[in-house]
Amino acid sequence: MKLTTFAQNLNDLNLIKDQGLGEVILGHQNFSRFGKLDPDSFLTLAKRAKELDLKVVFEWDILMTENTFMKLAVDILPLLDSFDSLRVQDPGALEWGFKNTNKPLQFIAENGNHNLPGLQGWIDHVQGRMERIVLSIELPKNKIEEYCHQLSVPCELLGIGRILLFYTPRQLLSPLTEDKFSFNQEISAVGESEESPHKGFPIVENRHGTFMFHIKDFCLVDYAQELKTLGLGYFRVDLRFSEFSQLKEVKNLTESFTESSFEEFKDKYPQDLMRGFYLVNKTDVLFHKLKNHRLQNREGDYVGEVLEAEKGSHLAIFVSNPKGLRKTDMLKIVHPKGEVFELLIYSLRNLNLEEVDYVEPQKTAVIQYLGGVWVKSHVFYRN
Amino acid sequence: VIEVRNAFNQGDELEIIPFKGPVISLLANEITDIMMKAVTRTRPSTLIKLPYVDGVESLQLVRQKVKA
Repeated sequence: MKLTTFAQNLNDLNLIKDQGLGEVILGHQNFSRFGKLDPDSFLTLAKRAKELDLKVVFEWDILMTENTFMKLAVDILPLLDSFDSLRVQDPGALEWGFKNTNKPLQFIAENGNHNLPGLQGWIDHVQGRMERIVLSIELPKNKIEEYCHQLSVPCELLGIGRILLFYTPRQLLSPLTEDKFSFNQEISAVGESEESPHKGFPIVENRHGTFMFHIKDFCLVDYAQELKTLGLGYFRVDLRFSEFSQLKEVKNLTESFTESSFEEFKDKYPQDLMRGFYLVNKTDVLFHKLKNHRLQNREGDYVGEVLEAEKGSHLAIFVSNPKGLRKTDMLKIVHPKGEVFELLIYSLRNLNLEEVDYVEPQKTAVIQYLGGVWVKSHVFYRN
Repeated sequence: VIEVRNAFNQGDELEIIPFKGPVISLLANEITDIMMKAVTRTRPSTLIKLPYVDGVESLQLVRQKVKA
């Protein structure tokens, strides 16, 4: 298993060479989502990398409109001689690279389809030109092992780096800054939710849009030896948002892991770390909650749903049943967690807060509050 | 009456998306809860009342303009 990483300046290149890596990924600012290299810097670094006998991988991973794609397909032509492999994420760019260059191709399949026939389909499509395929960090260990053995080209996986949660080509931060010259400049911020306790999300805006990341970085450094035995070809070290000098420690840890060195490394690393779905992917455990079986029954005696539960004041129920709701009705209320409450209505009001004996279907009824009943509870007749 | 999914503030600009035709813009200047108490910031999973707007029907969606 080999390490691969990104260089953003000449010092990075020297460190990569010193650590014995054989290749470097370069991000041109117009082609790479997080690339910062302008055309001259790119050519300088590519030239220096060649002098250092490093293989140069050109990253072309931005989301493109047709117009952008057509422009970049022209802009890349003068750069073709300066790199060895073309690394793409957009299938259109893959096709372009296949038809218009003779470069080996690396396909980033982190965000698209993860199934084995699909991945092998991309590999087969480029007729022996696929040099590597980049797997998703959503794959658990057993799938990584299966894919590494089944796919006909070496696989790459993120070893350490940020986890992208959200991306939009829109520029969401610059309208909030007073710096009117911030257009196309990189802006960093930390985001938090207004509605939940979640906070600390790193957010980056650059010329390609706005990116929001997980509060913890992804790290499989402590599983590097295992990944090697699973058949992983390349372990990607993405330190573009942290301290690049930690490449040395990552390299040492992947070769001879010790708990104490790893603890030291984690202490110095600027973000908390997590291993994502590597050991187990349990994302589907929430499905049964999202499709709560207790809230599926809307037949027969179903009256409607609690829209508002104001402690000590009232419950507001949207009445769906064509029979409507009468003051004499006995109700059974099922909480989303399964708890069942029984209730005899003694206060029935409409939304004008008038006491009534009957609320029509498709209207909202306001009844007395009952402790323990929450919004989304389902209401049934108990008569 | 609106079932609030995401909080907004008094004075925010809202848009009602009709089943046909262009969106209807309004300023949420007068917000009350269903007990007619004034509200300055709404909360998710609650019902609020806004003054009647001509042409608006039940079950239409309301969205908030992204602040620039």
